[in-house]
Amino acid sequence: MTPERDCQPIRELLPELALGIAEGDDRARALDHLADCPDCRRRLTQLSETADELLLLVPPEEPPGGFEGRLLERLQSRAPRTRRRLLRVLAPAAAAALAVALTLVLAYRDQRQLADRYQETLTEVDGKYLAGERLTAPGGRYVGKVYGYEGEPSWVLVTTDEGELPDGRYELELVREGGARIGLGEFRVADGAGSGGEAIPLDFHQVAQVRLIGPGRGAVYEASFGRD
Amino acid sequence: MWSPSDEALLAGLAAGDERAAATLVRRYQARVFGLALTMLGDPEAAEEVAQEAFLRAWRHAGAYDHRRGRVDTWLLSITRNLAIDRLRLRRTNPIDPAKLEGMELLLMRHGRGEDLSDDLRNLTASLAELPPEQRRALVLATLYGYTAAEIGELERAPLGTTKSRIRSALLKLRGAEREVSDDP
Repeated sequence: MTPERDCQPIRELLPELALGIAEGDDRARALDHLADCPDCRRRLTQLSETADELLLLVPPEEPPGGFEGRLLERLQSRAPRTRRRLLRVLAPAAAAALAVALTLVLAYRDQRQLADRYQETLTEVDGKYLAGERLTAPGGRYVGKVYGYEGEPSWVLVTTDEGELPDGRYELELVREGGARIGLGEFRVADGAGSGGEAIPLDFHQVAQVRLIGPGRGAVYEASFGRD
Repeated sequence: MWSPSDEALLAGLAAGDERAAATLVRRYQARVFGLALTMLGDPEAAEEVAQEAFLRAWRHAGAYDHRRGRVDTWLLSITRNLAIDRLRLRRTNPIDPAKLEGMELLLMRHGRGEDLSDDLRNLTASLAELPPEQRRALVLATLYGYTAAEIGELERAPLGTTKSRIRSALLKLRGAEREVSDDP
């Protein structure tokens, strides 16, 4: 349980966090504390509700003619439907691949046998390899795991451990070797945990890092995939 | 006439139902566009942001958790974040004080509307009762995405004072609805 004296300085930061304007060290410090303090998390949720409700005081305005038609056309023509279907397929696919990997580890202690079965599994799904790394907070604290799969398509799966990250909407991002960043969209942590998979628009071996960026561009959690 | 709940529409979106998408867009396009236009002041940019907000909602509909907030505030919060990204890119000039005051009045005038809930009218009353410097700080943070340091610079106030204004303002508004507490 977090001592009350540790909560007080963080509670002073919660309004800025709720408004999405907390910066740098303040933000990182608050997020670290929130990961272990349900009372402060509850306060943040309450203040965020109020901050969000302020947006309802802005008067509505009818958009220009044709807005709905243009939007629905984009909705129908763009990738989301395919992507969502892919996601739904991917999550079980990722889980299945991981389950297979875990089963193999348990069932085949002999390393050569394990390697053979791993290879067979990848051949079965026409994949090249499955990699896993720890997802860590600034300072190296472990918060979850990131799995990467090289295949057609390549994908990543991120899971955060129970209570390691505060609830909220995070941005999932890839960093290519060379530093270019590719946003993969939103990753949500709810009830203390989060998991999500996503097909990626490049081969996984081109990925140097997978990053989760805390709500409001806050703390950055990283998993690095080094190449030997 | 059949009027599906917001949650049902989002579930439809997540399943790729185009009718659900159309209904959701019709229901919230004025709010989403209104917020984008108020923040950006440019109809063309506002339409781009509003469209992107719906596209994001479409992409993330499957991840929406109704226990974490209402659909309308979720959509508006996506819109706000996108608009702030735009504002940060083009932020060069200080804000015209008259424009900022106009923004405060806009919120307070609309928030008194009879078609709004009691909660929102109470929120508006509390906003109106805030000391002007606290209200300005809150509006600058909410609708312009200014950080405490940036607000302090604009207002020529020390950082500690500015942080305290933001904190007091939001806590007072929260207090108008429910006490911030450890109670679930």
